[in-house]
Amino acid sequence: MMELQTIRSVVTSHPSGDARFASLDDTIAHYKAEPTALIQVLHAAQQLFGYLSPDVLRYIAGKLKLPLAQVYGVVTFYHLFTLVPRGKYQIMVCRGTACHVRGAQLILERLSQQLGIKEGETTKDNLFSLHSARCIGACAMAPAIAIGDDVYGKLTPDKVPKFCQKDLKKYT
Amino acid sequence: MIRAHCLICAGAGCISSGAHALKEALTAELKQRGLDNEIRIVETGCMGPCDLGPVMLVHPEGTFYQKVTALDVPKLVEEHFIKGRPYQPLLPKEAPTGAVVNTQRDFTFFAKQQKIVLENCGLIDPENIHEYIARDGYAALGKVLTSMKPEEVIAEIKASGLRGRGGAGFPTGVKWELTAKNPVKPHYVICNADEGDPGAFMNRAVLEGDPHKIIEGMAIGGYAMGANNGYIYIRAEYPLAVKRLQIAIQQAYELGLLGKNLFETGFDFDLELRIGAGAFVCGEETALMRSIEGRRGQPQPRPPFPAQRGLWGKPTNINNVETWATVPIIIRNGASWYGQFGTARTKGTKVFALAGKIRNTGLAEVPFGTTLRELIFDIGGGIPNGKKFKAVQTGGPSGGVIPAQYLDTPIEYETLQALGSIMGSGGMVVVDEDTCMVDFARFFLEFCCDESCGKCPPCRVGTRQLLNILERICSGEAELEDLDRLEELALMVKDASLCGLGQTAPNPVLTTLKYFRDEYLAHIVEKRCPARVCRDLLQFTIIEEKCVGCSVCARVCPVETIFKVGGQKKYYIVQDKCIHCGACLEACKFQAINKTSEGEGFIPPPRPAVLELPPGRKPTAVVTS
Repeated sequence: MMELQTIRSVVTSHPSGDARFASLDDTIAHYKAEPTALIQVLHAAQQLFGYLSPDVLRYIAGKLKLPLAQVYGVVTFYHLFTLVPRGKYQIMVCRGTACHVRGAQLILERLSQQLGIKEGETTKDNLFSLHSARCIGACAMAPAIAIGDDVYGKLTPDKVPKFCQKDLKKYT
Repeated sequence: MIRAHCLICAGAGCISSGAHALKEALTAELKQRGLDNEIRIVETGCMGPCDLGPVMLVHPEGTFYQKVTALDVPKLVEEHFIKGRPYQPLLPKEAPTGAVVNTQRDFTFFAKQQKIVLENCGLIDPENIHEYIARDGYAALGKVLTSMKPEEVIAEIKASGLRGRGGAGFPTGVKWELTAKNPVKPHYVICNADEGDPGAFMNRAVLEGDPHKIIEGMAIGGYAMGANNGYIYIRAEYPLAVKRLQIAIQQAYELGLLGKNLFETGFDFDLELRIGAGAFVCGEETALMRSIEGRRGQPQPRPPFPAQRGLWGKPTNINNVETWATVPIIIRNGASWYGQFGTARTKGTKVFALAGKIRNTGLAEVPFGTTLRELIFDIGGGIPNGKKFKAVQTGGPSGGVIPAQYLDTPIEYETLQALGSIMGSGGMVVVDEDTCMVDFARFFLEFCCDESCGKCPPCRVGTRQLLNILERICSGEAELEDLDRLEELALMVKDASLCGLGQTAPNPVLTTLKYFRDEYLAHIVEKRCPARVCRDLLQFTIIEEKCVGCSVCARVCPVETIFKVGGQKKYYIVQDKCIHCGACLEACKFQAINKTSEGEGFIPPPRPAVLELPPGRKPTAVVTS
C-alpha cells in the first residue's frame, strides 16, 4: 500500500523534464484533473507532441487516475487521435457528399501522385501527411481540402500540380 | 463621421477564397485615400452565397459585391466611394436572366429567403458582443429572468410550435418540460454542435456568425429547466467556430451575461465547451453525452431518455445549434409572431445548406412549406453547366434521395419522411445526370460503415455487408438476386440497429432502389453505368478524327497503355491494360477521348496493324503482344 502511494506521488511531473509535459500539466490543471476531461487533455497532448506516444498515454492515465486501457480505448475510438507520428501539416482531403459528387476522389489521387505518398502516409521530409476527412463543412467550395485552419476550395485535378508547387510552399 | 460600412464576409467559404487578403487591401486603400475615418470595415459571419465569395456588402445602400479580390480594390474604392456609383463589374447577375443586381434585397437569392435564425449572420461582427447587444442581443435573457417564471418560458416555447432542428422534429417545449419536471437534481443543458452530416454546414454558419445567440438561447433554456450548467459539444473540424465560441463565452462572462447572479436575479449559469475528436456517431445524443464524459462515444439504448437519465446520470436536455439559436428570437418577438411563418404542422423557418451540383451553393433560410423547387431553382439558381437535375439528397447519410417528380413537395418533416427521406439537420446535396445513384448510395454506406461505432451487430456487420453488395454492383460483378438481398438486409439493419445511425443508414439504399431501380439494373444486367461514373464499367477510346497526335494522353497514362499508331500522327488505347482512370480524358485539349459505358456490347475501334512506342517511352512487353 505504501509503495503505491509513493509511485503516485512520483507521477506528478514527467521524469524527462520535457517542457511540453509542464504545458500539458497546465491543461490538466485547468480541468482540475477531472477524468471526464480526457478527450480535451488528449487534444492538448496531440497538439504539443504531434502524436500520442505510449509514454504520453501512460502519463495522462496517471494524471487523470484512469486505467491505461480506458485511455487507449478512447484514443482508438476517435478518428482525430493518432498513435503514430504524422507530418508537421495534415493535408485533409474532404470526402463529404458535396465533394464526392464534385470529384474529391480525383483530387486525392492527384495529390497522392504529386506528393509521392499514399493516403495515411507522410512525406520524407516529415512536412506533410495526406488524409481524407469525412466533411470539413466547406461544401459550398467543393471539392475542398484543409491544411490546419486553411481551407482551399473549388479544386480541379489539373489545378493540383500548381497547388503543390505554389500553395504548399507556404508551409515550412 | 462614419458614412459607410463595408461588411466583408468572413465565413469559412469566403475566407478560403481570399476574404482576408481583400480586407487587408481595402484597409490599405482606404487609408491611402484618407477615407479610413469615414468608412468602416466589419468582418461578419457567413452571408450565404458561398459560391460567389469573397462577398462584400456596402451599407447604407446595401450594394452587394461578389468575387471581390484584392486586385479589384482600387477600382472599387474609386467608383463606389469617390464617384458614388456601384462598381458594375463586381455586381452579381441573376442566374437565368443575366440581369445585373444592384442591391442585396433585389437579389433573388436573398429576396426569397426569410432570415430569422440567420438574422445577424453577415450583419454583425461575431467577435464583438456589443454588436450582438445592439441587435437586441441578450434582451430575451433579461426578459425571462426579470419578468417570466420558468413555466411561462416553457409555455411560450410550446406555443411557438418550435420543433427540434437536429432532424427528428420533436417539439422543443415538450422536451424542455420533461427535463424541467424531473425532481432529480442537478439538471444540464447541452448544445449539439457536432454537425457531422457530410454536405451540411448550417450550424457552422451560426456558430461562426452569431455565437452569442446560442449562448443566450442556452441560458434561457437553463433558466426554464432549472439547469445551472451547460455544455456546447462542438466538432474539432470547425476550428474557426471553436475560436469564435471561446471569444463569445469569454465576453459574455466579462459582461456578467454568464456566470453568477445574471441580471441580479440570483440565477447562475455556467457554460463550457467540449471539443469532439472526429466521430460521426457522437451526433447521436446518448453517444454525445458519453463523449462529454470523456469516454468512447457509443450510444445507449433509449429509454432512459436524456430527460430521465442523461449526462452523469442526471436529467439533461440536448438541442441542436439551430434550435437554441431560435429560442431568444421567439422570446423576444413572442410565440404568435413566430407562428406566422411556416405551415400549420410546422412553424418557423429552417436553414438549408445547398451543395453539390447547384449554381448558388451556400446557405438559405426559408419558411417551412417552401417547395423543393423554389429552394433549388429560385434561390439555388438551378443546375450549372446546362445539366439536368436528377435528385436531391436531404438529411445526409441518414436521409434519402428525392427525384425530380417530387420537386413541388413543400418542405416539412412529414412530407420528406413520406418520400422515404428525412429533414435531417438541413443538408441538401443536389445531383445531376452525371451522378451515378448506385455509386451515390455506395458512398453513404461506406461512410456509415466506417462510422459505425461497432456496438451492435446489425449496424456493424449489416452496413459492411450492404457495402459489399453495392461494391459488387458498381464493379459489374453482381447478379440479379443481389438486389433482393440488398433490400432485405437494408430493412433488417433499419429495424434492428440500436441507434439512429444504424436505423437510418439504409435510407440512401432504399430510396435509390425505389426511385432509380433502372440504374441498378443497368449495372447488374447490362454491366453499364448510365452516368459513366463507376470505373470498372467504363471504356475510354480515342476519336480518330479529333486526335492531332500531340502525345499528351500517352504521357499521362499511368499504365502506359496508349500507343502511337504506326506511321500516323494518331494515338490508340489498348483496352486490356486500361484502368479507366480518366487521366487521358482530362489531359486531352482536343476532346479526342471518348468516355463510354456500353456494357458487354462494347466493341473497341479496330486495332491498327502497327503500334509504336510514344516518344520517350522505354519498350515494355505490351507492345509486342
